[in-house]
Amino acid sequence: MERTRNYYVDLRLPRDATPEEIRHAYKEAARRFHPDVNPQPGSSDLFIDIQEAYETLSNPQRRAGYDAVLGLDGKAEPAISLNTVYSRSKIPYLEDSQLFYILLELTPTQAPEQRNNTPLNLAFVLDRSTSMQGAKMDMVKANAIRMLRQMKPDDTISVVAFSDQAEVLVSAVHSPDLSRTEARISLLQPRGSTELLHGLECGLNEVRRHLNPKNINHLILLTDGHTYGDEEACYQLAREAADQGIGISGLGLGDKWNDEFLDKLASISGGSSMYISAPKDLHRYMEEKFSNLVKIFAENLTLEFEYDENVELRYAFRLAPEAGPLPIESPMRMGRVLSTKALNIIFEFLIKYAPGQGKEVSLAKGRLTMEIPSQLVPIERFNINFSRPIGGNPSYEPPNPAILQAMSWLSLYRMQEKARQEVIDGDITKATRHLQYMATHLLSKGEKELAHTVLVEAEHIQKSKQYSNEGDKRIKYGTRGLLLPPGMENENL
Amino acid sequence: MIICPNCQYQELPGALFCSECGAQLAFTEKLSTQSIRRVEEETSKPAEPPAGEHTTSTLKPGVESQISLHLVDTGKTLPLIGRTEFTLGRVTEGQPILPDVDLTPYEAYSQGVSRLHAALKVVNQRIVIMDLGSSNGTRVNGQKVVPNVDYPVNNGDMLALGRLRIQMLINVKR
Repeated sequence: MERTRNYYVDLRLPRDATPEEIRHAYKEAARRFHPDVNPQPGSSDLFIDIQEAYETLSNPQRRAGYDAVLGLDGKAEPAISLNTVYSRSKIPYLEDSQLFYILLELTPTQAPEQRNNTPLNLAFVLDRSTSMQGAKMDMVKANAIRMLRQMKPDDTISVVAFSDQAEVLVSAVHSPDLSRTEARISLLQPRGSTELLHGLECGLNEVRRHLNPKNINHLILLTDGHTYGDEEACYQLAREAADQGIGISGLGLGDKWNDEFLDKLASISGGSSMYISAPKDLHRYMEEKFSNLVKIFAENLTLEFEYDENVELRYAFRLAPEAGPLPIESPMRMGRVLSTKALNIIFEFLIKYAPGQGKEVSLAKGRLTMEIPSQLVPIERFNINFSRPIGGNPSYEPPNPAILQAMSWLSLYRMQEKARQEVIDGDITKATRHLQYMATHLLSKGEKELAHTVLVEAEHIQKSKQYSNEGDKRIKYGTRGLLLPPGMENENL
Repeated sequence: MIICPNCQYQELPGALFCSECGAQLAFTEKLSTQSIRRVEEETSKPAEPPAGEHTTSTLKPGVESQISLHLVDTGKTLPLIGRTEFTLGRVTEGQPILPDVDLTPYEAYSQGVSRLHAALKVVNQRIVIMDLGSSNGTRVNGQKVVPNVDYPVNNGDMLALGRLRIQMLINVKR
């Protein structure tokens, strides 16, 4: 092939894009990169590229010729297979509301050795506020240096430290001068308060310098405290980042960070947060995060969907990899598929009314798009249509075992969420009862240690009307760690 | 609406687990046939032995291993086999009536368990607990029970004899 240009990448299009989509993508891109509106150097070159891409792809004959040059002939097997599991094969005919579950499984179809190593474009944003003083800071520095040493020639890694202001310690370049950057990191002194916004912004800008759908574009945020007043602005940044295909992961160190905030921030881009109780564990979590990033096969999975007026999505949860709740919104960022591990998501739908016999209920309809960096045309797209026929009387049909299994753990996670809300609402009796029920089930499942934590916490709540410093996080992340489907190694514990 | 058999919470049809107490509401085929067979065993049982000899009659083998006590603090589980009534307490020297289940190895004394603390009984296929006038009382899920009155218990209930915490495990085979 004489040229490395990829028109599909230029316009961010899937290989089976319709003429309508091509026109739409071109208009979008043209608006962004037109030299009249975008004064940044290089944008006019980009604009010419877009122009060229559009001229080729919009003409069916030229497109066919180009596809042949690229080696895209006919219908190839999609690189990801999609499997939908329904809790029951039919929806019972009921005038009342009822619940229905769907488990979505996405698995790479290629053997692991056929997937090449995708370059990383990573920013490591770390908290250097005064509360990090001591062991935490030392561990963070050691891990940042270790991460730099692990990078491959194609990777770019930047390191940003923030307190009330942000500073780029290592800027995003290929093969940086290791000894100098290591010295800069090790000289880092804790100071100031935690203000996440600056750090996040600075880190994202570093990632953006090498933004490319052929890379894994990601930001790891490490903090040990609360940020005050700039949460909304942070969410906004995360949304913009998600739109550009940058994922965000959160690492919370110690007991005082705001897990609700970090969880939400990460989930906006389909990422997740982790709880690291002791600084000495940081290494293990960083290694895990890093190895997961290297194993990313498809990323930026986005589900755009709509549902019938009789249907409502009540809950969505990613079981693997990196268990965590997903925001109930369209587009929904679902996270990533690892080359070694399927992406499993469970949905709970509320069907308010199942109309007549023999009809179909459409639970949700939409489109799932993703980027698969290793593919020639990285954008892949699936049409989603969750629907089931309405069947007979509500006679008893056993639910799908995989869904039942997943829900047996997820129901405990949700009980924990409930108890947490009840403590906030001041309903201590209810919260204690829910925690006791939870402990009971954990015990019967053989999770003695976590059950004990839960019981101790229930007593603490009864006495002091609130969670202990670490109790709520330990229970939340502990329960989350149990959610991985059988056969998967326990990663989050 | 479906009603949770454990806590009577109203749940929407299609729910797999009770959102209030976490009890499983739907079962796969394999499990449900097992539980039907168990019910048959239980209902056919009273027909054979003449009624009225509750304290001496023994349960059929299939039912025997269904009740166990999980001692929360030590993590030990004690299966209760061979009777329909068990007294719980601790054994000391010169005691006239000995309890069926001796809790001494589980720090019963320091946890405030009386010598004859409480009794667990099977009554009409229900399990009940009765406090036998203990010094420090018996609690079911944190609720103190009135002495000498039967109090129904369910799988997973947390009992406390004084401060000794015990969890009831009934019919659970996992």
